[in-house]
Amino acid sequence: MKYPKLREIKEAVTALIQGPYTTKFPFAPHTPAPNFRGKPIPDEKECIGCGACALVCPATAIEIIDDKAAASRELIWHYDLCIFCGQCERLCTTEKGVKLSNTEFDLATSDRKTLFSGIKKELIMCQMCDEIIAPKDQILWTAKKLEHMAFGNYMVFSALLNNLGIAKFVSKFGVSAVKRLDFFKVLCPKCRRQSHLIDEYGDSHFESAK
Amino acid sequence: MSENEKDKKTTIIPIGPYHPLQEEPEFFELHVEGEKVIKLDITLGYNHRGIEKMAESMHYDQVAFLVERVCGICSASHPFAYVNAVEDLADIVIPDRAKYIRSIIGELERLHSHLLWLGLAGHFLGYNTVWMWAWKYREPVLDICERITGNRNHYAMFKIGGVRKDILNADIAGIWKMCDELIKPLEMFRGAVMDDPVIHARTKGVGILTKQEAIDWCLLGPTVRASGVAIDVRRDDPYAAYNMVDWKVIVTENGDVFDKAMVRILEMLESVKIIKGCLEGLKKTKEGEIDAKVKSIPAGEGIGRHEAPRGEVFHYVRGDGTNRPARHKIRAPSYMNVPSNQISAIGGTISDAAIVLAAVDPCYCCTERCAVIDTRTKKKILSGEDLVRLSQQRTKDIISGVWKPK
Ligand code: SF4
Ligand code: SF4
Repeated sequence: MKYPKLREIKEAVTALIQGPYTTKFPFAPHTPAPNFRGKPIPDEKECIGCGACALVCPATAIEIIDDKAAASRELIWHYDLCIFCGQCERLCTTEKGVKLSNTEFDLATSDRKTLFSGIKKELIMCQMCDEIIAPKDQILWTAKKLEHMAFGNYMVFSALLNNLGIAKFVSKFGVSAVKRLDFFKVLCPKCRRQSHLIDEYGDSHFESAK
Repeated sequence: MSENEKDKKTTIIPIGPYHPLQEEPEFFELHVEGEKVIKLDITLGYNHRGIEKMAESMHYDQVAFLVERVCGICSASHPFAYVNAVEDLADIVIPDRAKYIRSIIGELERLHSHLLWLGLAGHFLGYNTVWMWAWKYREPVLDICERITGNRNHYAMFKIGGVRKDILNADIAGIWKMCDELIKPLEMFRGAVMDDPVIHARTKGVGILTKQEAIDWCLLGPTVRASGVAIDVRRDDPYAAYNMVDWKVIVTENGDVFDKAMVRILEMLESVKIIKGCLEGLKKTKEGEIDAKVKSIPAGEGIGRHEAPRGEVFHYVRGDGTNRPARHKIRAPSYMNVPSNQISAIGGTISDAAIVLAAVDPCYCCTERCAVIDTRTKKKILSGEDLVRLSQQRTKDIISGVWKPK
């Protein structure tokens, strides 16, 4: 027998003894490498709902749904769009808000509507114009970072008090004109700027204050 | 014979263009007279996905992930060329450790891409043992990829200014061992192609591209190196760690399918050498120094090249000082290589066409969409499977001695 044939036979025998290289998945479990990038799983506790991940996600797989009436924000990771790049984990504001699982890879399903996981966050709304300011958790997280300086900002400060149960948020005063008085309300940046300017230059410059 | 009568004698075999598995849908129109191919028409451009336009609507950082998806097999080549282009634009110098890691990923990709090609080539020849072998030994390469990057393909490693994930020094020994284990099967492939009489009969002297033709048609990669033209971006315009490790450009002279296979197999052995050199290099650099921390990209122009498994891939990026590219242009190697079939396939037979068209390593799933249509009766004679079957039949004929190679 010629050498090329012998080589084939040798390989065939080794293959017979060693068995196939691939794993038997789905009939037997498969363990990916420790570095494996699988399903991104958001962490309800560590995520502050800032939405930075949705801005960096190259596949726009992270959806943010803001419900103004209920003052809540939903962050949804769509696994059917996700490319498992790990950018959301890498660039997360808190660095712990979402983690790519290294074991969960089997996402196959016949109904892609089930392919998501989401978390809900409470939003702080402007008491004057009903605009979204930020998720409450994000403001509290900022307060923690600012430490004692947090008390220099009325909104951060009141969010802290609210969190301690000392003060209550009046979610809405109704849409009305911003006045100097409104300095001590939880305001969106636009209304805050306006009330600051009123404080500085008087009402007369402002259409809304008249 | 008048021109008209001649026309009647030709049969047109359309190959392509649509197949969901293909990376680049191509449409080949083989004009045949009996068994002999006399003319070949090639049409490209069926798969315009608007990637360049999409790139202009994404941040520089996100584009790396987008271009990764230009091609499933070359999923390191495009981001590699892209980051080279942006780094050229912004004059960024990347840390040595990142250079080594980039080269490792680039070479791992060449390994698994060439093994994939080798398997397919074996399949088209009807030598399915080679197919099974090559794809079996492709698995450990993909396992190394998964171990380093977190995925078998689509590595998400390339980042402007460096790489996204480090290779820990503790891991180097394990990866080294996995690379070592690749050498034995690669040597076996070298032997299998070198001394197998059937492979010789099917590939030697088939689909020849001379040196001059290769230069005239501006071919790239293993296709041109098999014709005796020694070009390789990795050596000619060094980037990443390619000038920091020891390796050589593989060149052969004959330009036939056999030489193209040989170039790819020998290149794989060089790739293992590069990877090992890079792993050595990693030990000399500090863990964690993998990113130049780029803050902004100025206005300007940059070009980036990378020697992909199929040849040089070229990216051009123009920035206008914002965080998105103003213009992004991509040229993939198959775009240059595929037209060369116009010379290499002519004069051969239909049964050789399958392997000749595959020799430049376009994604070959298109063959399965082939149909032979009689131009007079518009009747289908051959399907895609038939073309592969024809090619495989010839191999069987050679083995049983029915058909003698010239
Ligand atoms: S892993 Fe990547 S694609 Fe998936 S949600 Fe995170 S950033 Fe988006
Ligand atoms: S905390 Fe992290 S995971 Fe949560 S929204 Fe912000 S960036 Fe996304």
